[in-house]
Amino acid sequence: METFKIGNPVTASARTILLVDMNAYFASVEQQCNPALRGKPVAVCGEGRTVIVTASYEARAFGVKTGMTLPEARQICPGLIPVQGDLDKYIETSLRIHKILLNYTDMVEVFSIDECFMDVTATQHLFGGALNIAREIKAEIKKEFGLLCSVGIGPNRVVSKIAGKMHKPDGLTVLNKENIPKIFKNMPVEKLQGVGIGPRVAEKLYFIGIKTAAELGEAPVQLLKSHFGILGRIYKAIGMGLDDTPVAKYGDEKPVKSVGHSHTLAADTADINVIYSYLLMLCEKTGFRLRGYGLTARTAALYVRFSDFTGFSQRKTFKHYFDSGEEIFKCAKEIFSSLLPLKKEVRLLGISTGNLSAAAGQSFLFEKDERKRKVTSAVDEINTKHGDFTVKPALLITAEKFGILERCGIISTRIWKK
Amino acid sequence: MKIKTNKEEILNSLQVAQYFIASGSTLPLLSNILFEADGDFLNLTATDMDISAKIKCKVENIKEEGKTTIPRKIIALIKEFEDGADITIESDKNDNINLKCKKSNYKMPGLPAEDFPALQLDDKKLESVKISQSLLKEILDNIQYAALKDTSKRNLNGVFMKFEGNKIEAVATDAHRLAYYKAETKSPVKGKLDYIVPLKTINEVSRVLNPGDENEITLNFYEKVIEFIFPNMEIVSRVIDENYPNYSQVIPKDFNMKALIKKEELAASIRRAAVISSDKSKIVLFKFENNKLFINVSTADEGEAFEEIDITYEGEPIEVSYNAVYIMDFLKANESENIEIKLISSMNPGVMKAEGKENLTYVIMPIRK
Repeated sequence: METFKIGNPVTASARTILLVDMNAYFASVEQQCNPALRGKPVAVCGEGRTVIVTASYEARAFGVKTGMTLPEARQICPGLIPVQGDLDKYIETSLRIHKILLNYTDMVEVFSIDECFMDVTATQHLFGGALNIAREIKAEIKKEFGLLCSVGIGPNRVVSKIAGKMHKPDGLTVLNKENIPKIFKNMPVEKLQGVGIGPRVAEKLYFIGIKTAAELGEAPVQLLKSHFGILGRIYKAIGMGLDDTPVAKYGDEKPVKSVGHSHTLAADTADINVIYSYLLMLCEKTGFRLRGYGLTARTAALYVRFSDFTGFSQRKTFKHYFDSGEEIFKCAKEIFSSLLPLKKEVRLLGISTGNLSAAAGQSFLFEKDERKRKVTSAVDEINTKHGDFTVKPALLITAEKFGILERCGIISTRIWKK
Repeated sequence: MKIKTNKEEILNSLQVAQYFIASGSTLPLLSNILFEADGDFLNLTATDMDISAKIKCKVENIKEEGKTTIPRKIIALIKEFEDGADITIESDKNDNINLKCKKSNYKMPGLPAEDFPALQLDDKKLESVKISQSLLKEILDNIQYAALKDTSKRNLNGVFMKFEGNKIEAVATDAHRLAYYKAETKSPVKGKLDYIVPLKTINEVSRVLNPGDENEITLNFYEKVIEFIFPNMEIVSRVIDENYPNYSQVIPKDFNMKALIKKEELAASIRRAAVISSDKSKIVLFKFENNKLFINVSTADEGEAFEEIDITYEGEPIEVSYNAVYIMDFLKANESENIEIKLISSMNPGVMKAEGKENLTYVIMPIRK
């Protein structure tokens, strides 16, 4: 039998990691900015017909959830106040919250717009211990912004994240060697969502008789590997409360794994010209960002949500790398063509690129290719200076006439790099 | 059809045919090999619809003429029979195949030969050229690696061949580097002909070509098809019906710097330096100065490599970056002791030449700074 090893047990057990998780972040920020919204059910959405991004705790009490459409949410919560999201405001607030965290260590890794990991192993003794740091952070954030957060403390990222999710809102949970066995024994695997065990994995685990985190940790590696492949090993580690992923230093960028955009159409449509125009817009945006990061992609994925909220997604991996909107569009169109003739109207389109590699800056031999590259970089320069789509393909006019609702689709972790 | 053959006789031919069988085809017929027993010979044909090979195979005894198609697994099966054993292959009118060898008896369903898709030759043969096997192999092996390996640009996914009088030019490029070979044949063509031959065809033809063989093979040209006639084999391939870029324009003629380098030293240095970087595109910085070549690979967080080689250098000092793979491809493809690098500037295409191969020119674009 294979022995299970992960990382260095000495360093793994010696670390102290904090997860700071802002509660109902977007909605809470809105409530703080506008006192009239405080204590009321608030839903933050995009412009126009988008879905709910975050709901305040008052709205959640009615059952309003992220991903619902506004009409759906209003049915269960008639007094719901929709607020148009303002990403700049949330980013600004996050950056200010980071400043508070950075007072305790520079090992602050921004995990998402409302979550940060902190490695306080080296600095906790200066502040009277990790628990004290957590209390101070919670108090400062509440005092300065009126916002609540949950903090989880653990020996690694996985455990601190599990701890952070255990009590919401305004929680403070410590998990350590002593209490982990007891807590994992009673923790259903679906509670491990957020550390890598999604609902489908949880369902599969139930199917093979694994119901709790402790059972996952005790399961034979071979069994998990046969069901989940290489991920089996990682799942077992999660069940054992092990993880040796380091917390990055603040400002150290994690490599981007995928770049993409999505867009809810101004109205459901089956008009292929309109759809292709939107697709091109998303591909151009994606290409622009890829080039901005100095990356090229080899995989393109298309996501389509239909008017009845059923979805379709497919990815395609190519032998060659690409970074232009035109090439991404070619792939997207190829995938989309399998849906033709359309049986339902399209509500949302999404494009994502993956299998990323650093662009080498390899020059072309032939004038034609080189000219194309120069035009693209000139257009990028203009659009960077004067705003997105100052110069654009003429085909985009179709989508613009139909209506562009959202300013921002998929929120990337890279949004920090303003 | 009923034939009796020796294991080795048929296995060799079947193994050649195997390369031409369509991989992952949804058409069951394309996974089969066409058997045609006629007179003294058994003809084996395999195709993927773009390229087709017909192999003439001498068998011990054709007891009954006829034709059928047999699944490719017959190759794996025959391989497992005892060496030197006699094998009988028989098909009935419903294409049921029966294979016997000593005490082994195998049955498998074949498919009708009539349905096997033949690659159609256009009616009119335009031109014909004879070329020695060794020369064609020399040309193809010295350039084919430079062709684009994917189909993102279809016209580059092949080797461009141009015939004019008794001159041949062959070119392969992926838009970043280019390999060019010019040669002469004994028999001239009347007019001017050019074709883009798919890379897969070039790979297969090159595999079949015998490097030391001065005997000539015949190339037949049709409108959209090219045919390679070997003594015991015919390969028919579709050509890529697109325009090839103007390659002569991008091959520089005048240079400002020239370096003569021992090939093995350069190859060993690049191989070592490339280990340091796990990037997919390995960028190598070359610095030519005072009869020295400095090689540097640097990464953000994986370390840095420095190598130094003594060379013969004429010209001002220069720094230029290349993709290591492109350099190594050229070094691996020829057995010359020394190579020459000729440059104009760090932004212009550079040229590499191999000692003793005057007819070969390799052009490579630098990495932008």
